Amino acid sequence: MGTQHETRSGATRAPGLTVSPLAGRRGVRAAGEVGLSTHGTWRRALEQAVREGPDSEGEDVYHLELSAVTFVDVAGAGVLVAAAERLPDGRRLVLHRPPPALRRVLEMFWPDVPAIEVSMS
Amino acid sequence: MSAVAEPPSGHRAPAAPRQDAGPFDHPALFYGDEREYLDGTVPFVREALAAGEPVAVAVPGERLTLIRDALGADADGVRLLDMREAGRNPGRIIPGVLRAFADAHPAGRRVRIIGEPIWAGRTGTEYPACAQHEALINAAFRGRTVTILCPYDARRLDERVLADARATHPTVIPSGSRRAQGSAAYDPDGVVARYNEPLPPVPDAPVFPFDAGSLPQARHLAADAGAALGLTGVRLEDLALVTAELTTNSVVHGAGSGVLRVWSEDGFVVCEVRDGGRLTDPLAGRRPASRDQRGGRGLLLVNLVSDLVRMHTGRDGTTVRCWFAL
Repeated sequence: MGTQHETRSGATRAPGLTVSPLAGRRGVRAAGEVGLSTHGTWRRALEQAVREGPDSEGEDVYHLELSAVTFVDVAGAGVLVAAAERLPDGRRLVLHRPPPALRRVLEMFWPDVPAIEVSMS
Repeated sequence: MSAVAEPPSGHRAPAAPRQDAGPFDHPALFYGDEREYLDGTVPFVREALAAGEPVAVAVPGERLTLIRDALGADADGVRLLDMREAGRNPGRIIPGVLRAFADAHPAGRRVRIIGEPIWAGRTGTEYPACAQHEALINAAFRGRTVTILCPYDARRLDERVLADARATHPTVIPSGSRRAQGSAAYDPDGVVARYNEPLPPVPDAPVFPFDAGSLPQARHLAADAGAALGLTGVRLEDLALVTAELTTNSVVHGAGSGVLRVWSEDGFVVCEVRDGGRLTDPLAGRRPASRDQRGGRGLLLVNLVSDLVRMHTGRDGTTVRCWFAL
């Protein structure tokens, strides 16, 4: 039998998911990981995006700043797509610097969702 | 299901449905040499083209070249795929090759595919997954108006492989023949069960037990191990995704916990997840996801990105082992 593996230092924390409003534009910044224990937080953040109407200047874009999100699993990507597809016509989600896993899963299963735009800035 | 002998017919893969078998047709073509290969495949493609039926050819690259050259300009109307790439993982072939092509065309019109998933270079590690794949095609396409012709290199493949082909295909076209015959040995469920082989734990591989509270750690551990063993870039991302999906499945469907192992062998990084659940759906991970379907893509992703997936499931639990080429 093999030996019990020591968890590395980074694994002693419990990676959660935090969501906070963006300053200066409509949307949220998420930080952490999207997985089984954080799907609820992720879903609520996206439901907020669906609920919010256009802002006072008629802006039809909702920004998701994801540069501090390190991982999104397949179910998490599915939640994102479901939210985007519930947006009224003409509105869209802009994902800023999504993690590679999310880009990979979107390309594989949902390559052409008009309401999702990926921005690397 | 008892296989019914084909009525005499002028061509190898008759479009007429067999009695009791429905519209799906899945003949094995045994060929002894290049000439028999082309005699068995090229007319199949030309008949499809003449009938206006969509046709795809997914065979190993060197034989793809043979068929393409024989078709000449007609090859332009055929979807050509190198099965060594597209079908490297046998578990990827139904969702990623066969149904991907068949589903892209309207139901009702016959779709024809030549699929050669088993060639002489397949390893002993790959073969059980190959045989199960051939068997599961029958369940995956039951009732569909599709013909899938599977060539077998009768000269270079083991007799055991040819015997399995008689069990995974309702009809067989013997070497040198032009006519499909019902296969008395047809028993796809028996093949799926027979190749549900135990995957005994590899000695000396690090062991990481996980539960709902340690899913992120399990993924980090797999990614760290994969990187240390030499995986990079998108392949390392794929290992992390696969680990996340398998370990999450164990927590949600497999008794709440499991054991992860990652090691390297023969130029591959191998990731294994073992849990106490039982996989009851043999087609799990082999159905393409419909666009509107919310969940159920985890095992499909595992099949699409891994170079090989082997599974064992039974009363004592389920083991899924995935290979990533270095």
